[in-house]
Amino acid sequence: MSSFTNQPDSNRKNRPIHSGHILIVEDDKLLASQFARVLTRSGYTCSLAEDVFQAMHLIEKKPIDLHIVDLRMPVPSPSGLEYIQKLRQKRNDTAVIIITALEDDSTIHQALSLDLYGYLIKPVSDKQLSVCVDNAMCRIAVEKELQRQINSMQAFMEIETQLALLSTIIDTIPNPVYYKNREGRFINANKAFLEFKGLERRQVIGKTAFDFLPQDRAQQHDEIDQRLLKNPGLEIYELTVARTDGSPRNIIFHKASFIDTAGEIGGLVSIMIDITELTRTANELIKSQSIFKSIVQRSIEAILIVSHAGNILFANDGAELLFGRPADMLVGNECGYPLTSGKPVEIEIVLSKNKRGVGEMRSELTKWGNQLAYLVSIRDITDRVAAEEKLKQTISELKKANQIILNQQKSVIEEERLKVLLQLAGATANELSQPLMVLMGYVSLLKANIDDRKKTTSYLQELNLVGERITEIVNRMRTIRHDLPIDGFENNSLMVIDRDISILIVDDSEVDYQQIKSMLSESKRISLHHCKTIQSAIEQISNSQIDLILLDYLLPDGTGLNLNGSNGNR
Amino acid sequence: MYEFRMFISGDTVGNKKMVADITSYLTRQFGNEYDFQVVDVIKNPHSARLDGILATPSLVKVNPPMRKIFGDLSDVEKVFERLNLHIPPEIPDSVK
Repeated sequence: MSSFTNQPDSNRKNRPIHSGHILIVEDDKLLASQFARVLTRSGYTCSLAEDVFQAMHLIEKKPIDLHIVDLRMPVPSPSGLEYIQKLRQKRNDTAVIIITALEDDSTIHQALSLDLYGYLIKPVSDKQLSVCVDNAMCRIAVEKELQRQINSMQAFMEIETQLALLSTIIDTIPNPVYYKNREGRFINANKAFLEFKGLERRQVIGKTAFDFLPQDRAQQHDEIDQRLLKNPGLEIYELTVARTDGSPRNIIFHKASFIDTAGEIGGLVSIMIDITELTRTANELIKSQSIFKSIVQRSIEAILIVSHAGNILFANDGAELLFGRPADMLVGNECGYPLTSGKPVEIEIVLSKNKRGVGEMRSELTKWGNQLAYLVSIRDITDRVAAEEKLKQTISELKKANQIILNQQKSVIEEERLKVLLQLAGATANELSQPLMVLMGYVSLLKANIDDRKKTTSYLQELNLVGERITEIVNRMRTIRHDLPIDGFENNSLMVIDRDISILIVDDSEVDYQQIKSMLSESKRISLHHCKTIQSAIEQISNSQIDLILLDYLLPDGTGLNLNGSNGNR
Repeated sequence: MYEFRMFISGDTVGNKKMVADITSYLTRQFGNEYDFQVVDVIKNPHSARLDGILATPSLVKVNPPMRKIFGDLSDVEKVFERLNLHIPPEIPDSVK
């Protein structure tokens, strides 16, 4: 193996000078050297290989631009064709010139199928070789340039596509985004920014903030920009910015410097986030929370927050009132787990100074900060319970008093009844004494005149009259009411009236009348009368003695009240 | 030995029943291996204050870790579930 480097030659004046490394694979050393001298004079660098093995070894060491290959190689080396095929397996565009003595059609055909850069038949003149190699190198250079341009074009199109995608992404972002160069001039801005500012793209691109913002505001931004240009990084800051309609917006700016392909600060990119609504909502929430907290704190109902472990985490003013101790004495107290079963439960409050209260407790699971806790509300019902107990006591006392009155009433009534009975008994006894005297008188007369039939008969008649008189008096006494106690009803008795009673039933329903009649049919001392109208009832009452009226309310010619009214008049 | 202390207000019918139910439960669970004290805070207000009792009825498991429970103690099974087993409550969706 050998290589030839570039050597100046006075015969090369009109010959073009090219660069490139050529590998000459030729087993004829003299010929190989000849070729190398010619090509070196042209400006190429050459390496020589006597066979394919040497050639394969060389191409691993250095890059070869052009292979000049003899087809016939000494055994055991593979042939030149085989070498070329091996090269093409590695790289399809390897440049090869064949120099060979073989000129048969089959060889040429085989060679041409390999896309060669030249095919020279030996013997080859220096000029032929020079021209062929120059042409091959030109072709190689052109192809390289073409490939380079193709690669550039592809890269360019790739970049164009990426830029288009980036542009679409940025325009799709709902937040205003813009970027500036190092001089502070706007390179680009997305749709959201242009809409926010109410500007067109041409009014922004190439301009600075000083061109469309108030001086002081532009200055503010510029100061931050300058800091970022000096010290690359990220700055986040908040400003109140006016929209095109003049409405103030709270904006957070995320601004960062970016590095260009040269590794230097290329400019700044900024993203604006409108937090106006968020700020407003947060403020309202804080306000609501404050109001709610105030309501809870001041609620007259005791409100406690109890942790899952049973410790009081919060106590409001109502709790202070109920438990009779300040909130800071309640908080931290291990009152225990509040157990309710989904409905209010009555508890007794252990107050200080040996007082007690009654509360109605409700409990709900909730969150307090990051922990689960129980919201316990206790309504003070001490007064209500006391009032209920007082009421129960009063009712009980009233019942007792009522019973006493009833008992007294009964006693009084009984006493009166007994008085009347006694009076009646006295009067009756008085009334009885006279006929009894007459009776005894006639009995005496009878005894004295027992043999005198005429007198006896007369006396017996008189005795009969007296007997009837006594019977009448006794019958009158039997109509006086006496009560029959009923077993099982200690406070009640059945009123027994041992006399004939006349009952008028005023009912337009025949069925109802028959029912009442069947109920009273057992008593032989009751006589029943029936009327279906008020008018007929009035006539019945007028014409006969009625002791009791059973009155239906609704009648064909009025109501029972009408009869009661007219009866009252009588 | 398990120790329990119950705080009630007064010797009412309801309180008597509650004490009887709890006693019955304790006997079933622990046989004779328990100590159950009943404290009437009306008669012993000092004891209630010492034990930090704010309301009755309250039941205290004295053995460590000490646990207290107060409110509706009618469901004895539920009471002892909460006292002994530290079973976490069912968390409704609205709180999750």
